Amino acid sequence: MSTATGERQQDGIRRRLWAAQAKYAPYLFVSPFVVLFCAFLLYPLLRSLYMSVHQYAGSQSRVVAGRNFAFVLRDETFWLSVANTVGYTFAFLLFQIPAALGLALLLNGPRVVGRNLFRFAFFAPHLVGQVFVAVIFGLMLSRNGPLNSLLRVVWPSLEINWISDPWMARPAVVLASMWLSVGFGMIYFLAALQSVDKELYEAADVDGAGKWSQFRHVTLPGIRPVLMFMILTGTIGGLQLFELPYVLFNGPGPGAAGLTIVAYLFAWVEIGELGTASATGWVLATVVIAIAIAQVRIMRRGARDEE
Amino acid sequence: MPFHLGKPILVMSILAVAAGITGALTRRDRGRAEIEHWAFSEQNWRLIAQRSGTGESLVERFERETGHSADSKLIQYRAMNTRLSSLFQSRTGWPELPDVIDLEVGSVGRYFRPPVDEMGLMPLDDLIDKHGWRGRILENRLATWSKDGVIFGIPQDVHPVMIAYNDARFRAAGVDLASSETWDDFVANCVKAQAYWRANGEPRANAFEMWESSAGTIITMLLQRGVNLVDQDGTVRLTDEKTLDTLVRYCLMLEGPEAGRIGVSTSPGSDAFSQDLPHGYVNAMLCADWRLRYLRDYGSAMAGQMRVMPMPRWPDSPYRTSTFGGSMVGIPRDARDPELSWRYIETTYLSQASAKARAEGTYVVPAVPELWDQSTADVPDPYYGGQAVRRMVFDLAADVPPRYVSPTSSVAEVEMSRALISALAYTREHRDTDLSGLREHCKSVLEGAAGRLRRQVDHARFDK
Repeated sequence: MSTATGERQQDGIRRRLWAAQAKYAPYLFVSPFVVLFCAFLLYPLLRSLYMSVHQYAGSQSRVVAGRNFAFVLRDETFWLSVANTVGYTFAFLLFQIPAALGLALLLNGPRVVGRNLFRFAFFAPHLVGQVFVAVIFGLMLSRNGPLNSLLRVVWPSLEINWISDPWMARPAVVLASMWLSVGFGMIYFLAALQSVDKELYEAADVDGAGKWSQFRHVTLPGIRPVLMFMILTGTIGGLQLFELPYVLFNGPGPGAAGLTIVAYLFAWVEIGELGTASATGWVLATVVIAIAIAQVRIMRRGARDEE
Repeated sequence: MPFHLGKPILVMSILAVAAGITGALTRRDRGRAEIEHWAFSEQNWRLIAQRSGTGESLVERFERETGHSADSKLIQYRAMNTRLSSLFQSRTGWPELPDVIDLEVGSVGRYFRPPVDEMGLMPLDDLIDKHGWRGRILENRLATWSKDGVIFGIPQDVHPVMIAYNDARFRAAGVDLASSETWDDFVANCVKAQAYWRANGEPRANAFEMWESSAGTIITMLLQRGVNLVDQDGTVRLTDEKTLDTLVRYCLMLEGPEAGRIGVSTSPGSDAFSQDLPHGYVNAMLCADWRLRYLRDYGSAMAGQMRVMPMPRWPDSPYRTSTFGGSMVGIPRDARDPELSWRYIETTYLSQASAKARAEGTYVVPAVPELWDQSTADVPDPYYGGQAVRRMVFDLAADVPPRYVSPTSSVAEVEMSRALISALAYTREHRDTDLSGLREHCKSVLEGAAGRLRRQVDHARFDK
């Protein structure tokens, strides 16, 4: 009798424990993410929103409402940074994506020897990061650096100040950025190309389609999702550009050619005016989100039209 | 008993627990020195913290003389400024805050934004008076580290600027460059030398280094003329007549018609000394005292050929020198024992021993004239052809113009660079046709720059 009662009690405890576990375990499982999300994303986001309506000086602060936003949006220097950033973003999309796709098409050819070696070689620069690339290009593009020395073999009196001439500084950033990112894009495009159904090419071949038609009507639709992804990440990456020009020029660069939106933001951090820096950050975030949404919609519409 | 998540997770968990325990047992404040000093310059840190030969280091000297422990830490420039800004902003005191800090002129503006009584740095006027340093430190150098007349930093250096030039090459062209009293003389002499070099098979030879994409050189020339882009009281001086005149002259010297063009932008970093000078691409350059050593170290090919001379005179300024760069040492407002911090500063920056350590191998002089070792002043310097370089450094250091720093100094420099680049582009474009509009163009770009800068200064101003 007593044994049966004991078993019933134990059974009850076990059931209650099981019920509690079933009830609370999901919260426990998601708690690491929630804690990290709140500490490192949500709190900084809300804090920066709070800061964007304040003015700071050392430990002092005061509420200024929308003054920081109004100043940023009226500041010529901010719009110069926007023009620079948009220019770089367009240049990246214009040169990097075709270059990455071109390399991927070359490496995807059936007779390429040492594909893995090339793949690693092109991708390797992406592993070292923007700061390292900026330092390397700073040396390569200096007045007496390897690039100018090489060009002088053909044109002895040539003097290109890649780093200090405001007109050459922008191509220098694009060049360095291409070296950094083309391999990254190439890897994605290569994977996408290899997943395109080979039978489609055979069918197109039978139908008499040339190489260009095959590329236009088979390859491009086949790699469309990756192309969309590359355009989207390229745009966002371009809008967030900072370290590369900042390290390459050791500041905003000649004629503020390296002054991107994030560099403008950072300049306010350096001054200690964190409110204006936060307001700039929110303007940038709004622009990035708007562009991302617009791009996704445009591309989805394009895909629907093609279907 | 088997661990149900597997051995890798078990090993990682053990490692995490061990690391946590180790971290807890070796907390940072355990055994922390009574004075903690943050330095960003490795050269300066070595002078303070490392022994020279068999002697004691300056830190050890402080410890011996006071009986208190001290620790000088070398911290990366940006990391230190980020950390310090956060600490000042949150008013975090010990144990996070150091007791003595080095700050560089390019970074100090941000700390000068709050009202004087709210700044993270401690006012040093009382300590200066109490310990009898008033009047012994160069006034014009203290101005850099002051706000509203209150001193927040002790200058570590003076950094007078002079012109270093390849005397052998100028002499070969029949020019004694040191005889240039005014900037007009200097330009005329450079033009003459350049014409000689170019007529003798050196089409790429240029006389004078002038930066074309950043405002460093022109700001140095403006300081010599007594112009700070943002003055002590926050006045923007980009539209001053002197600024305009200097910009016009600068454009003509760097991009003007052949008859008066003497400038060229050089390679960045040490390449200017190791490549451009030996190849005759450039033959004279502005050199602050700290740059004299770099020139000697990297431009060894020109040993014996180089000389230094004071900057040529402007008609409306008494100065034969300017200043470039600089650092201060200060005490945080919430430091544990300001008296002890001051004693540390006296030992490591204001003592004969510290001046002697700094004089070894560099040309940098402290901002306290009584510490200048006059016995070394007239010693011939072999690299500079036996010239008594230190004598010139001492003479010019005593006469540097004041330089003021504000939170928007860095923005002012960017705006000046933009104005300069636009003015240079105009000069380049019109030099073969008609440059009569140059002055108006310069005026217009300076007004634009001043307008932008004024708006930023007004926006960044924080008054209680």
